[in-house]
Amino acid sequence: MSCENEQQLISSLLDRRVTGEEWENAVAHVASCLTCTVAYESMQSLRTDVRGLDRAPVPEDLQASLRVLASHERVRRLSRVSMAARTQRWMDGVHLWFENLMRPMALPFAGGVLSALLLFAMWVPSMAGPRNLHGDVPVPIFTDPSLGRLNPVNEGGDVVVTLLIDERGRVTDYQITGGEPSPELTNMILFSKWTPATLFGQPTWGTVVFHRYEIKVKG
Amino acid sequence: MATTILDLSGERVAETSADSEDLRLVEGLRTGAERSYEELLSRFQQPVYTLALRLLNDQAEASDVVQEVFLKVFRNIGSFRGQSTLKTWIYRITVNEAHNARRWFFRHRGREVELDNEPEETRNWKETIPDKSRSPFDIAVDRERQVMMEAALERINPIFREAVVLRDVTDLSYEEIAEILGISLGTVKSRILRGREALREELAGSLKTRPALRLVPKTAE
Repeated sequence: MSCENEQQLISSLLDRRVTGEEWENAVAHVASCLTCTVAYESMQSLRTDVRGLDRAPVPEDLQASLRVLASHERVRRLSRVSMAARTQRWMDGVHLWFENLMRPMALPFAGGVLSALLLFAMWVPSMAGPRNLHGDVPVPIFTDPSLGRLNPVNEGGDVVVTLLIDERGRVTDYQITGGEPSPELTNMILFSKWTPATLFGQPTWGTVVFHRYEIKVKG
Repeated sequence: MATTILDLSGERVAETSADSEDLRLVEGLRTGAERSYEELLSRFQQPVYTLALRLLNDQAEASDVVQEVFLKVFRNIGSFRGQSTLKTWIYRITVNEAHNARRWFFRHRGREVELDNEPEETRNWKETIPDKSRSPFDIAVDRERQVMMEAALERINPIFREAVVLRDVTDLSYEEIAEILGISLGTVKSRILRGREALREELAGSLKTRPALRLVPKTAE
């Protein structure tokens, strides 16, 4: 065997990919040829070095990515088993999409609803007036006293009176803030009938300002 | 044809059991069995990553290739007919993907200039504990040798590199390499031989002694 043939065989010799006859010839040649011995040992050393290259471990992030990938692909494969599974997967996808869409808006939305409710609750009492339809007991928080029946004897000029009405509709005190006191005014106060003020529908004390203007026509 | 040195009878028994194991694994993957997916990853993620890394010599590229490989495996497991072993099939996909990645790299990223040439090294707490078994010199020599070997591997023709890596790093037989690369046994032999020779030449070039510092004695003035 020539050195050239031997050089061609060295690689196969290392991998034991030669026939028995080739093996015997090659071994005999290597034993007698220094050049081929050096070439053989050099190639053997090279092969050992290549085999000894570090096996770099799989990075942890790649391992995690592969697990996620496997999980997704498994679900995808399972979903293709039947129409029901495919529909279920589609529904899950829509559900997840909707959840992901709504989740960022959940807090602002809840805050908006609560704020609206709070503002509405604050605004409602101001809507309640002293209206009393069909004779119902007035239920707003507070209603002022009102004049039920005025004394028919109604004379004495212009006057403005602040009256204090008790829970039974009687005048307990009064103060004349405009005009002059007169017996007619006193009679009017004594014989007029008042509806008492109410708090949450219950009669209570209250004040009312009474005006009376006399119109005089000169003829 | 004369007898070969390898004892094939033992290998055939091992191949038969491997085949049945492969078929069971493939069936599990087709039916969506969770354990099969885990088994596939635990069996192949390390060798596929090692192969991709040795073919591309770039961690990020290798990671991308590994993901592509497993995606293709999961998606196309239905078309696996069992005409080759599962290992051969997956390695063939890996080699093809690495080939595509290399082509893409040369087309798109060849002109890019890296700002940070050093690969990012992540160290965990175990690696910070000093290793008392080997001297820093030995470690440095080994590291240097490894770096030279990787550089030499990267410089040789990719066609020869594929053959050498599949044979010496992945430890596949010539028949398996022929199946993966889609070439004849003779071509496999030739590529491995030429790859090893090219590697030896590259290493010989990088190991050439450099001229030592020449000191010229001068008389004191």
